[in-house]
Amino acid sequence: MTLSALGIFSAAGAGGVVADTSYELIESVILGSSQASITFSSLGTYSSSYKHLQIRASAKSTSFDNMFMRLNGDTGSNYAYHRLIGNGSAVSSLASSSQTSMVCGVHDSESAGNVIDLLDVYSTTKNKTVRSIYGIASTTIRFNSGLWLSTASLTSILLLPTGALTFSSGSRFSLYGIKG
Amino acid sequence: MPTPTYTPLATVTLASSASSVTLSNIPASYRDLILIHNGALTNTDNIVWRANGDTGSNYSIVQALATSGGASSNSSASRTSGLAGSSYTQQSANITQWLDYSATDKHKTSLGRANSPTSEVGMSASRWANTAAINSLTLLGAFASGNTFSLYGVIA
Repeated sequence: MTLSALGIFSAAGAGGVVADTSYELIESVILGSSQASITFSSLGTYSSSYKHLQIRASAKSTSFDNMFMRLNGDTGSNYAYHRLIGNGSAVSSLASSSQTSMVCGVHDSESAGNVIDLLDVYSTTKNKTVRSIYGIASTTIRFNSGLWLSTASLTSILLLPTGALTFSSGSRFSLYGIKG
Repeated sequence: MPTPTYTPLATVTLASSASSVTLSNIPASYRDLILIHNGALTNTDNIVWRANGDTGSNYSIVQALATSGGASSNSSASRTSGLAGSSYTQQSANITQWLDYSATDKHKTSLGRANSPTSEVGMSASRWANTAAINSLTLLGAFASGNTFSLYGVIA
């Protein structure tokens, strides 16, 4: 049996290790030196291939803080996000709107785990929504939703660390496509 | 060139109750692992994981939980295991993801989502303070007969 990315079981080769073709690796970046940002570009190429995208990232920097996302290079105040936060002693929430980017994850001096889903990214009738789970043990675990107020089809994703920080060597960012 | 992935590596269905399940000989040819657990426990407790048989105090966790009584968060370090979800005597579903499990230049982080629909929903992060590639995972809990454990590999 093979489990598709949408959670539906489908038949596969008997006894074989077979990857379902509904979930595919598009591109991976593993940093050999520090870098100010990560860009996945030319994503319009995949508009007829995928419905959703996923980023899986181990994000390192010199300190713990938020990771931000911009889509299609838009630097306008067109982003909003909500977060549910567990910090080891209490649960809290936070919301923000009219931002020039949206929080989508975290980075830390130890690798922070981030799994980010971008939904219906090639729709030209919907604003774009992002959901993510991310955390670093002993520090925080967070569940997040983000919004980009644009119906434009996706062409690029920019990931940024907080402020003047950079992503450290060893950070890994992988982009996957999910068919639909 | 996009490459298909999310490859099933192993599935275990318990024919009888068990206190542990070990998934061994995990190949290093993937970057991430995803474990889907579904089933009930014979008592209420966390499900925890150990990597490569390490029983030392090399794990740390943070989690946030929501129950009918409210939301809470806790963390602990120098533990002997990471978190792989919560489970109750009712049916529960838990998804745990290990990022960069095969990398040898970093400690290993997992992210967990725990769903026990009649009791709680939770999320967690765990770390195994070891740079070795994970080649086996042991899940510990009071697993009832019929529990399923499915492990998938994701390339990067």
